This record gives sequence, C-alpha cells and structure tokens, in this order.
Amino acid sequence: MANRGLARAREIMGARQERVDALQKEGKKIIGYMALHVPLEIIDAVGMVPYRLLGDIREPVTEADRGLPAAFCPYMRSMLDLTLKGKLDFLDGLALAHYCDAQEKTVRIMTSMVDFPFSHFIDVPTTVHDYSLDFFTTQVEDFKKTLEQYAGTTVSDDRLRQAIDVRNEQRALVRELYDRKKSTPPALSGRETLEVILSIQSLPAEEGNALLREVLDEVEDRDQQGAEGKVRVLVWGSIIDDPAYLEVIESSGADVVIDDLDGGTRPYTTDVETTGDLVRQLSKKYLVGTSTPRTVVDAGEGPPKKDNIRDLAARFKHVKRFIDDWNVDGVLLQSVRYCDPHGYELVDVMDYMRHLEVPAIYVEHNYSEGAFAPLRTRVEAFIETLE
Amino acid sequence: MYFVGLDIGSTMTKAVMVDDTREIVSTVVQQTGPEHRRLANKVIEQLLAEVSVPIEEVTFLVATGYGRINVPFADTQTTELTCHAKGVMYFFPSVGTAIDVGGQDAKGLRIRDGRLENFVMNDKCAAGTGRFLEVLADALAVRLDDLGPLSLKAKDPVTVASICTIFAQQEIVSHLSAGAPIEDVIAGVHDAVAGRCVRMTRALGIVPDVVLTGGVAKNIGFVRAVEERLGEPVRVPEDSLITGALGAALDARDRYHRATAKGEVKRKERKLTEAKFYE
Repeated sequence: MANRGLARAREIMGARQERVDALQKEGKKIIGYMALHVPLEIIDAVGMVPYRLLGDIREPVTEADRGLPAAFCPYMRSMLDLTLKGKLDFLDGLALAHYCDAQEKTVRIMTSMVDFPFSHFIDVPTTVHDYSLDFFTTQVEDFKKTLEQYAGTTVSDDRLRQAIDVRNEQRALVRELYDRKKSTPPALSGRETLEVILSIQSLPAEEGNALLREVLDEVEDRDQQGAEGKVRVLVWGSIIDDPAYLEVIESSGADVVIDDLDGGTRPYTTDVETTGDLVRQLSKKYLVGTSTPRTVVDAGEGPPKKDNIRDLAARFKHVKRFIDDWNVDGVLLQSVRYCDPHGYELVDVMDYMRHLEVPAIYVEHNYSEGAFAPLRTRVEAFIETLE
Repeated sequence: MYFVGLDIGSTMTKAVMVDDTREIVSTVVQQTGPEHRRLANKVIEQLLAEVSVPIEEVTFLVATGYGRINVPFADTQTTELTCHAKGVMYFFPSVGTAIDVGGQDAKGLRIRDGRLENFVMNDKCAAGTGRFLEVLADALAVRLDDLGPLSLKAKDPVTVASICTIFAQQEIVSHLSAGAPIEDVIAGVHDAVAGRCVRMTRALGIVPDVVLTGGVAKNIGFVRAVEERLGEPVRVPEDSLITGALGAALDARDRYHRATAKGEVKRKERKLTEAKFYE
C-alpha cells in the first residue's frame, strides 16, 4: 500500500478485486450489494464487508442472453454477464434491495442460475409516507435477522450504533469532499471524485474513511493559483460506474463540480440519527433520506389545487441547492438506455430545470466503452452553447 | 485574411472559405469515403487552388463533423451542432428551428437570439436519415436524385409504419407487390422520414422560421413532406450541404477575432498533412 489518497483510489479502481482477496485471506466475509437502499451498517455490524457490485463497460456482454432480452437495462445485462462468467463467485453473499423492476428480475435470475452462499432481497416501497416507512422497517428488521443468522452472531444496539457512527462519519467526509468542489476551479475533478467514491464503496468503512481523510489532506494543498475554471456542470442520472464517463465530459471542456448519481452524492446527503429505535432510524435514512427517482416524493399537505412545480420543488430541492451552492452553469441529464426510473423522472427534472431557467440537455447512452463518440459530440455541443 | 471551415460528415466532406467580411470565396463538396483521414488535406488543397490562395493566407481553420478529430492542420474543433446553427443563421437570420438531415444522422436545432439554444440528435438509427432514402432508391432501382421529382406525382401516398429501415424495406416491397405506384411508395417513404425528423425536433418546440439543411434537404419531395407535417412553409438554403462547413468558417473568424481582442493570437505554422493512425 505505497500509494495514498487519490493515487490509492485510482489503484483500487484499477484492481478492486485485490483488496477483496486480501480481506478474505484475513477471514473477512464479503457481501455484494447494489445501490441504493441496503443499510450497509447492518453488514458492518455483523463484521462483514459490503462491496458495491459494478458492471463493466469494457467487457463485451456474451453470456447474458441466456437470461435476459437484448432490449433491457445494459447495466443489468452486464451484471448478469459477469455473474455467469463466474466473476462474482468470490462473494460470500448478496444483499440487495429493490431499486427497479429490471434489477429485481435480474437478481432473481442471477440467484437462480448461480448458487451464492447467502442472498437476501429487501422490498422497498416507492413512497416515503409513514406507512411505507413502517413497512420498510419490517424489511430491514428481517434483513438484520437473516444476516445475523448467517454470521452466527447477534448485533447489540451498541455495536449497531458504532457502525452507524462510522458510516455517519463517512457521509460527512464525502460531503466535505464535495464542499471542496465549490471553488473555481474545483479542488478535484469529477473523475477523481468518482474514483474516490467507488473506492470507498469497495472497502471496509473505517478504511474508506482513512482514504477520504488522505484525499482531503491532499487536495487541501493543491495549488490552484492562476488555473482557470471551465464550464461548471452538474451530472444527473442513472448508473455511472466507470470514471471514463466523467473523463469524456471533462475532456470536452467542463468541470463536473457536483452530481446527483448513485455513485456520487445520493448515498451521502443525509445521516442516520442514533436516538431511539436504531433499525427504524436506519430505515428512515435508507428510504426517506435517500433521494432517488425510484421513490416518489411530493410536496405533501397543501392547497387542494394540483401544482406540479410545487411537487417538483419538493422532489428536487437537493438539485436546486446543488445548482445554487456549486454555482452550476448547466445540467447534463444522462441515462443508460431502457432505464425506466430515470426515463420517467427525466421529464419532471427537465420541466423543473426549465422552470429554474437552467440550461439542461439529456443524453442517453449504451453503457459501453465503444459508445463514447456520440456522447462526446453531445456534451461538446452542450458546452459550446454555454460558453 | 481567410477563414476555413472543414466539415467531415459520414457521407460527404464539405469545405468553405470566407474572407474577413464573411463573404464566401470558395466551396468544395466531395464524397467522404473510407479514407477520409487521408483526404482532408486534399480537399483543402482543392479549396485553395480554386481561388489561388496560398495556405499561408488561411488565418484560422476549424474542423467539424464526425471526422473533426482527424484534421491535424486545424486550429481547433467545434461540433457540427454549433457550426450548423451558425451556417443557417448566415442564410436566414430569422431562423428559429433548423432540421439537418445528413447521410447517417439527423439533428434538430433550436436557435434563439442568434445562438444555438438546444438540440436533439439521432445518430443511432438509419430511419429518419439519408441512408433510408438510399436504401429506398436501391430497392426501386431509381436514381437518388429522381426520388424528389417522382414523389411529387404521387396521388395516394402509402403509409410506411415501421420505424426501422430494414423492416420498412419489407413494407415497401409488400406495397409494390400490392400494386401501389412507385410514386406513391416514394411519397410514403418521404413522409415517414419527415415524420421521424419532425417528431424528434418537436421535443425542442418548433418555432418558425423553420430551415431544412443537409443532403436530404435537396430532395423536394422530403421538403414538401416536412411542410405538410408542420403545416407551414420551410426554407432551404440554395446549397443545403454547406451550412456546417460555412458555420465552421464563420466560427473560425469569430474565434480568431475573440482571441485577437484578448491578445492571445498564435498563428499556427500550417502544413497540409494527413492524419496518422497511431499518433
């Protein structure tokens, strides 16, 4: 581990498997998860390591047709492809929560075709009302019991609170990292940010926090004197799990200063409260406190007349805050093909951007390294309209 | 002082030279072909030779189009979206919406207050591009140039419902088998292509004046089909192929003068060389 900070993050992204192998040799169990609603603290608390499952835009999909149609979320096709090629065989288990129907179906197919030592699927409601939270809490309790059984241990409140404290610290560190991107030019690029976040999602929580502290120290000393800022862009949308995407955007003449992505700010905007029933507090964070297109938030009680902008303002208040506080010039809305949650949400985000009079474009892409050229042309043209 | 725009499209390569008063002084249009990396310099040589201007007098050169990165002697690259907007505004300052239909892609541009404001692009699917018309001409054994005039004779245009070029081709064949006159089939295909381009552009909100450009805008049948779909007249530049290259030349002039105002002008020692594959 000679490298530190950003170089270490890049090293981990280049060989995520290596650190996992070493952890398994130390006797740690690795639990694969997908964003965004699996309470990681429970995995931490039983002494296992949550490991975010990423697809691979560089690996041609050759096996997935055995289980999935061609016109289907290409990220999920990649996940099934990697599973069938044995690339997830190292996992000690899967912990998944309903993100979208494509993911739910894919997970069922994955677990029916490959025998994982442990797998658990958490049902997630699509609204954030109190009765949804009541239901989701029963799901999280169930997950805790099942995992405790698999681990042969019982998690005390103290142990769970410790795990929450460490993850709360991680979320605070990530927010601090994003705060450093408010400057012109930002203290670290979008590509670097994504590398750091995908790295900490591949590491035990404490190790991730140490990496975050190293990165924060490193960018503190960055000499930005005389450097000119570029067009400041917010990237919104579906899965981006390869830093090369942000490289395409940034090499087209933009600084990705903030995002609304699963591999970006989404898991880190809110904390878990540590008073009262901890499982309910966890459930609250992972359902109500996690903004994502798959969960509907409306403006709640109000005038009886339907006011769409009022709903949108409630739903996208975080995006508005990002645009204001990070001084955003334009918003790049992106999605992989066939992504239902983002496809439906797109119309609303676009409406709200128009209402805010913030320039925005939508780019759909193929989740493939080979499909970058059309993405680049659209991004470059968008930046030209902002200059 | 001359400014050059070079637009390497999927099917045609276009070059335009303007002087400092924005007057067009020279134009070249050629097939792109598979060897476009080697031909970019030849096109420029021809552009210069036609008006006997030595390369040293080219002050700034902008490359655009999907082959824009393969022009080693360009000062910079600008996307075809920005360039088309500039080229269209040159001919029609009152433009609100432009639709460019090229050999293998189609673009919709929304232009407001002399600037490109928003755009949509289809470069994934042959339906709604010139490629569809090439396939049609092939299937009917008709020259591409004859499609437009023939379609104007249609009495009862057929409906082509398939949104995929390959399936549409099957549909065309079955219309012919059913005895539909060739003119009606061609008019039906024009309407299908126009429908796709108009639907795509509607996402931006279509605001007049509407301008059609690209190779397909040379087809009068297609232009009429778009007008019918929109319910209003559209305008087509005299040479609908060159708007991208012209826009690039105008962009070259703009960039040069902006840089001069900032005192940042660096004259590039320009040699018309081929792009190397492994540079």
